[in-house]
Amino acid sequence: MADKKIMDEQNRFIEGTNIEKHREWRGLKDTWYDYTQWIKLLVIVMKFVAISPFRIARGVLEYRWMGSYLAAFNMRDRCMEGLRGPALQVANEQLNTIMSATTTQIGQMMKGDRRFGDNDFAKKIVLLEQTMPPEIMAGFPNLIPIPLEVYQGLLNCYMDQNACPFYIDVMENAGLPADSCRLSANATGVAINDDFPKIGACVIENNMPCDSSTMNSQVIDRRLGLPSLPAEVPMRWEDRNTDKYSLVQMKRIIKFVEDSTGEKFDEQAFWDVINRHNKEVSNEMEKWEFMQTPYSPIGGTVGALYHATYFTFSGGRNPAFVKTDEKVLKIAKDCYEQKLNAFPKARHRAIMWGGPACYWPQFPNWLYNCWGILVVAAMDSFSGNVTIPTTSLDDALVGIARNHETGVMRRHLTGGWQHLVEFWGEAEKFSCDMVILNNDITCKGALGLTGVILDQAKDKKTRLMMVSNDMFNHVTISRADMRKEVNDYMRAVMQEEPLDASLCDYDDYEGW
Amino acid sequence: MNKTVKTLLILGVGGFAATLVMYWFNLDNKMIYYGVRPLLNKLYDKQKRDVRI
Repeated sequence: MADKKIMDEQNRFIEGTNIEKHREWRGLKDTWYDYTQWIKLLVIVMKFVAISPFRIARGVLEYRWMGSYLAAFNMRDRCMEGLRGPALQVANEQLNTIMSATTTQIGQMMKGDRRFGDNDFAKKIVLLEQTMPPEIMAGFPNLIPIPLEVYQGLLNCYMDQNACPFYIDVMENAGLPADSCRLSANATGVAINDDFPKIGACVIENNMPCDSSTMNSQVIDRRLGLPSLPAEVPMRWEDRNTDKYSLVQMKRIIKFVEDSTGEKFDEQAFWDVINRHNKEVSNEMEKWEFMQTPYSPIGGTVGALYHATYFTFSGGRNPAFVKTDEKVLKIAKDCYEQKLNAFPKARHRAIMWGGPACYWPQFPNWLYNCWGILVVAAMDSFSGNVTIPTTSLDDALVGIARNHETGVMRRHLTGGWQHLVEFWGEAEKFSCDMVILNNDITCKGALGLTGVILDQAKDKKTRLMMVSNDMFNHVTISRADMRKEVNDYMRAVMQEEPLDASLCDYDDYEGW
Repeated sequence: MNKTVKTLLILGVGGFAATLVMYWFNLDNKMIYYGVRPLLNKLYDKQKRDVRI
């Protein structure tokens, strides 16, 4: 049954924005808890500023994308909307870890930015192009792997829906194709606008078989002016004969990093990171066991975001993720033992699939609060998750390549059609009665299979709801457009009424 | 000693009250959305960049 306190929820917001007049009342206990977590985030931000106060201030003034991170507190609030009790605790634990890990790296980028004066710290950074997991750098404890593009596109888009259209316009004004994947288009715009920080000793680029990715790699490469190496990791990873090629590539990357930085591969440090990576994976598998039951506090927006974050930013390097997992698993275990329903408004359980609207990462919160649809897991949750063998160095290197090959975007969107439709099986495994398919209008890999998926849906009992988005560009398909698609589907197909009608249609176009 | 305790107490209670008001009325986000970000946007829009490929 709906919580009366969140009915008419939209009236808590200032018209035309997504700025709250006041924060959400969750009952005394949960509101107090949320306040303490807000204070924690305040401390995380202070620690971030302390990394290099002067350079970070200059970064905010210099880079448009940095300005978007000022919306971090708002982003946190949106991710917590409608959550109570253990679900609120899990989301806060995970989101604070995400904030801490990412702000540390932004601080490091500013600290090493040659634009604000050259220093040795810049040479400690190795840039990894999108989708490249940091395990590749496991044997270099003195170097800092930092993902390129993610900080100037994905994360700031999560914070502020207005962050990316500017860069996409820059890219299109340069005469480059307007139907490119928005992730790549944005990164190209950042490169053309010279808005990447001037950091790093070298860049490891990926070989994503995507027209947009190829384009952005080339433009970024020209702008950065750093030694670069395309990691030619096989796409057809199911054929074990490709392992020998991936091993050669892994060794090539290690040699390239050694040559570019003067650092030597440290096998002991390598195993420490790999063991922690394996712990992250086993924790994820344990979380899935809880998530398959009705008594799980893990779900909604933050769960999948957390997975994508440790895949992209940690890869076994950051011990904070394992510590957070332990706390989350304890909450999940308690919840399960007490047979506690942490999402009491849920009428449907759903898997979310396909390239999401990054300008509305809290779409799952809205689905839950407005229509009672609990998003149990999202496509990114099923990326990577490879337990890396510890039998020999060669086996481990092949395992790292496999983690990359099955990683974010690679496995499902460009890794073969059969992986794009894995969601039917996953929905069954997680006891879902619904699949929400993100119809990303510029992802040609996924769009090519839309017809096949629609045909498959006719034979399935699981409901399929398609919701269009333009990934980083809210100008073409706004959040309101997405809400309308869901509202129409829920009313016409499911014959249901919303839990909170005030959330069905509202204006947040100018908001973050 | 008493003076130090008193000062710490006032700072603690004052800090708590200030952050609580800031939290509840969402003053952090309102300040950034209506105050800081528009100024930054003006600054960003004035920047000249060499956008040749």
